[in-house]
Amino acid sequence: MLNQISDVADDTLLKEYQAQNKIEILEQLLLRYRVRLFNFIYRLTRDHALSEDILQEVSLRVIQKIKDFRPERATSFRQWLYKIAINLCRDNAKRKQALSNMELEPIAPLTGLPEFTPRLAGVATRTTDNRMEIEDLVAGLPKEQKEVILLKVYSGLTFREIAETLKCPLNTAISRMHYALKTLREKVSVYDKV
Amino acid sequence: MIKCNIDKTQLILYLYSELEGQGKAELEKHLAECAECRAEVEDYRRIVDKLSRLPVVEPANAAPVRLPYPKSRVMRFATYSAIAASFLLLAAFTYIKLSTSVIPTQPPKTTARVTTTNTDSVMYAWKDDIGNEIDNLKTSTNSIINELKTASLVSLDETIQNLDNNIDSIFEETD
Repeated sequence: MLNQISDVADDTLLKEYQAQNKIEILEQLLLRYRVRLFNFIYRLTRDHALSEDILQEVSLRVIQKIKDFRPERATSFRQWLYKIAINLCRDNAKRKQALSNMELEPIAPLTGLPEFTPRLAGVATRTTDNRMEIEDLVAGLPKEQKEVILLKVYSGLTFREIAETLKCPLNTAISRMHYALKTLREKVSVYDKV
Repeated sequence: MIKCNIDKTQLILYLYSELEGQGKAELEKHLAECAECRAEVEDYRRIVDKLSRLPVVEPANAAPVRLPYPKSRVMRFATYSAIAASFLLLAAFTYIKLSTSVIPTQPPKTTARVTTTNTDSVMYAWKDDIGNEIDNLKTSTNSIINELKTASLVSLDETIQNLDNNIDSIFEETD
């Protein structure tokens, strides 16, 4: 179960950190979001090791930039944290895309090897567990919709805050959520009928 | 059946309790009349509930997040103080060693001869020289300690190098 989020508790810790300049307080603040943030990154990237790297990078960015962070600019620490995370995920996706666009020399097929029989054959993406189904369905959504839906699930930000975080108009953020839910609704009902 | 012309994004805001005031009241009135929208909201609610129950994935490293600690001024001061204390000990040890050596602390008292020998005068000269060197050493050590107290921005390696050079020059002079 994920812990509850409270901006008031964040603000208290932030003020404590700014007054005492103790890194332990900042760690405590980050610790509050660690699992939520990790799950958010993991559902976006679907790569455990990469998610850990990004999570660590988020922590480093926070420590580097915390002096510039001004809560009075109507941005909560939570929103700022998720903004860093999503930017890092996007950067990573761009790098991945750039790598996959690179032309590689074709590798000659190996011959004479025994036929490969996967041990996990039969463990398909569709299981009887609805939670797994929904996870796979979310993973299959377009990137923009996935970002909105995952931000809503893991950050609990309002649509206005999500729009600010993603730098898009408010109506666009809500529409993306609507399309995402509509797609999931159609696919979940298909699964439920099977 | 009347075709529903409502802005569907309103349903999303309503779902997440982000619709307030007049808008909320109007939508609730519409939902009471429109079975299609009501079904849509209920389905979305079920999906949102499923999403909230997605399995929690734990990071492999179970330890809490550890940030790189910047070296504080306190830590720097503690390091320099430790070095200064070592040099103080070294100076004290040298002083004790030299003061308990074979050099007589007082001129030999004799009733038979009033004048001192040549050997005695050489030994007294040495004693004066060594005393001066010890004073120099004390002065240098004090200046090093003061330098350490103030030079918080000097890197540790550079400070150690300076100290080594100072010590070397003192011992060269002593030799």
